[in-house]
Amino acid sequence: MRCTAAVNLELAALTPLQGGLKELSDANFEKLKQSILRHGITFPFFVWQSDGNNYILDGTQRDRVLTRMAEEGYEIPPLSCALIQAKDRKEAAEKILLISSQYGKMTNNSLEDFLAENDLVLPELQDELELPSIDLEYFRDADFPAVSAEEQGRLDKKNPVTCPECGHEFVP
Amino acid sequence: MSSSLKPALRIDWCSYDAAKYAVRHWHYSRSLPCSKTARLGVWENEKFIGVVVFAWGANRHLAGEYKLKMTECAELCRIALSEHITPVSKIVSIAVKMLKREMPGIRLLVSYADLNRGHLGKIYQASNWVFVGETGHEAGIMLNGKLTHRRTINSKYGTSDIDWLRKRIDSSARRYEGKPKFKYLLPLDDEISDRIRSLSKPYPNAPQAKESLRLDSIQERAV
Repeated sequence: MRCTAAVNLELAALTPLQGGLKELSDANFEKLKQSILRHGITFPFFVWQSDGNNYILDGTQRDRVLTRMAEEGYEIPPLSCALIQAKDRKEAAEKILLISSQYGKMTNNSLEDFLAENDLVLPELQDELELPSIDLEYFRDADFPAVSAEEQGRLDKKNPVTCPECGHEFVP
Repeated sequence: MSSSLKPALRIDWCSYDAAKYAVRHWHYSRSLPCSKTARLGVWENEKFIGVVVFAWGANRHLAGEYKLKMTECAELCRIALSEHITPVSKIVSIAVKMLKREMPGIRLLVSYADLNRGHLGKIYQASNWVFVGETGHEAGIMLNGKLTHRRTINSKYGTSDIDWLRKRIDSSARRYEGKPKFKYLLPLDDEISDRIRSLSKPYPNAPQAKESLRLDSIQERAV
C-alpha cells in the first residue's frame, strides 16, 4: 500500500456496485496490473458502506485485477479505502457517474508541456497508462529521413486532370 | 538558439508526415495548409529539428496581384523548428535556394508575419525580403469560445456571416479585430525584382508592435 485513508479493508470485503458499466480490455487489464506491480496501490478506493457491505464507487477495475492477482498467488494487503456518503443505492450509483466524469480535458499539447515540466517520458510510462484522449502518434520519436524531391507538390506546375469520359489528360 | 557549437546542418526534402509532426509540435498553427506543399526538412547533427514549408497561397488572387500565374508564386507558410543552433535566416535562405533549383518556375515568394503572434518578420528582414505593407486586421471570429479563422468557419458551415452564426451556432459569436499582418516578398529573378521595387517600404521595427513583441518565438508566420 502506498497511501492511507479512513479504513483498511480486505479485498474480499469489497463489493462491486457498478456492474458492467465499464469494459476492461485484456490490454488495459495488463496495463493496470503493470501499474500495480510497479507502483503498488497508490490511491485509496472510494467505498460506500451500507447494510454491512462495502460497495466500491471507485476502484472496480483495480478490484478486478487484484482479485485475479490473488488467484495467481499474489498476496494482497488490506486496501486503503476512503468512505463516501450516500443516502441510498441510487445516490451511490450517481456518485459512480460523478467520479467517472472528466471535466478537464487533456490534449496532446498540454500533456507534452506537462511531461516536459516534470521531466517525464511518455514511452517509458506507456505500458501502464491509458489516455484515451491522447494521440500516441503525436509522441513518436521525430526520427524522419529525407525523401526525394519527387515526393513534393510541384508548386510551379498544375496537376494534370484526366477526362473521365475519354481518358485524355490535360492541364487546366 | 541553444548553443554556440556549430552543428552539422542538413536541409533536404522531407515527407508530409515529417512536416506534419514538426508543425504539430513546433508551430503555433499546429497544422499544415490544405493546399499543395513543398517541404524542406532541417536536421542538425542528424537529428530532425523542423521544417520549412512552401505552398500555394490560401489567397487565390495572390499571384495576380503581381501579374504572375498561380504557378509562378508560392507562399512560405510555415517555419516550424524545435531548439536549433543554426540561425533561422540561414535555414530559410538555403531552403529558398533548394526550392528555386527544384522548381525553377516559381518567380516570387510571399510570406506574412503576424503581429497577433508578436511577429514582425525579423527573419525576412534578415534575409532581405521586400516589405510591402500590412494586410487585413481581421484575426477571425470568436466562436464557441475559440478564436477561429474566418476561412475555417466558411469551410465548415458554408458561411461566416456573423448573424447566421449567432442564430445557429453560438449566440455570442463575434468578429475579432486583430493586429495586421506584415507582408514580405522575395523575388527570385531580376524582372520580378524590378516589378515589385516600387512597392517596397521601410522595414517595420519593434516599437510599432511593442505590446505584442515576443521574439523568443522561433516561428514567424501569419495565417
